[in-house]
Amino acid sequence: MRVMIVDDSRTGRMVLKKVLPPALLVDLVEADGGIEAIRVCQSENIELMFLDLTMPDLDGYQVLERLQQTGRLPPTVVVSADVQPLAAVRVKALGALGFMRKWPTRVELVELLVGAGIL
Amino acid sequence: VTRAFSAADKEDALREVINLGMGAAGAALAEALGVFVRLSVPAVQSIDGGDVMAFLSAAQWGDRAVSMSRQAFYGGMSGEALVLFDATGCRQLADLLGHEDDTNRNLAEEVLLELGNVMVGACINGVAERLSEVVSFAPPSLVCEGLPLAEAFAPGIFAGRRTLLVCIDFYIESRQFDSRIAIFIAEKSLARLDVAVEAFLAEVTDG
Repeated sequence: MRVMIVDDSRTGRMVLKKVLPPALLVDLVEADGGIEAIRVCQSENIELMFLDLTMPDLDGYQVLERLQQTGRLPPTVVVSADVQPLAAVRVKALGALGFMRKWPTRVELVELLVGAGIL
Repeated sequence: VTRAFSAADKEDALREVINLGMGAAGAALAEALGVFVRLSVPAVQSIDGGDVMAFLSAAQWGDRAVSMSRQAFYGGMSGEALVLFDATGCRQLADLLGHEDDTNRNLAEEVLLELGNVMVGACINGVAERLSEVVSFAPPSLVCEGLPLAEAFAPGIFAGRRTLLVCIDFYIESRQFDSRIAIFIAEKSLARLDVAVEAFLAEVTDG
């Protein structure tokens, strides 16, 4: 499964890689911002995306919006420090399949992915 | 035992830890006001006193009238946090909190101090917790109400201080007003902060 982690923070990407199940690390790409994420989604077949919200070029909401408009939105889990309840509501309305606060444990992550039929 | 990390790695890790704290502050503001809050990416810079005002008033804050509270924190990490609301927004705070009929000046001040207190507490505690530090807080106080930023401080007040300054903006979408938190981390705390960030990085990269 081709997986992409989108986060402007290298630390953020690193921590998430640490909690991902090994099977999701086999074919992994990373993007350090929203513009790069959109470029990759438009040119490659990303099957699962982990998306940060607060990023300097395009934020996660804009990434979801633009990919949804072009029909290129992969199954997406938003992983964010923005923990207000409305953030979760909003990203789901924009097509994300789940929302997790930074940083989830591996158990929480797997539970969400199993529940969503990804794993 | 901590490993050696590059300055870039440590800066990135610190920014991410601050981001987590700011997320908690945004959530506290959203909950208190019952609104959706958009957060900016934190601006983090080690800065000399003479440059503080330029950094603090960057982007949209330079020519605005603001109401502002300040609050010192100390312990494992010490410094001071400012919470700014633009004057337009400040007039809406009491309304958002359900005090729309009350124009009492003391109430506006109380609302500002209380919101500032909640945001600073959520943010600084969020950062400290990730870095395994414990901090305490002094009570917040009011710096100004409805003054341009440049007039809010006595000239030269920041002179001679070197600090790590962090700014983040919170935009309250439904009401179209902004709030900003600026955190000054004291120079004397920076060495300890550096060690704490290294330990954090060692922990998150372990295994």
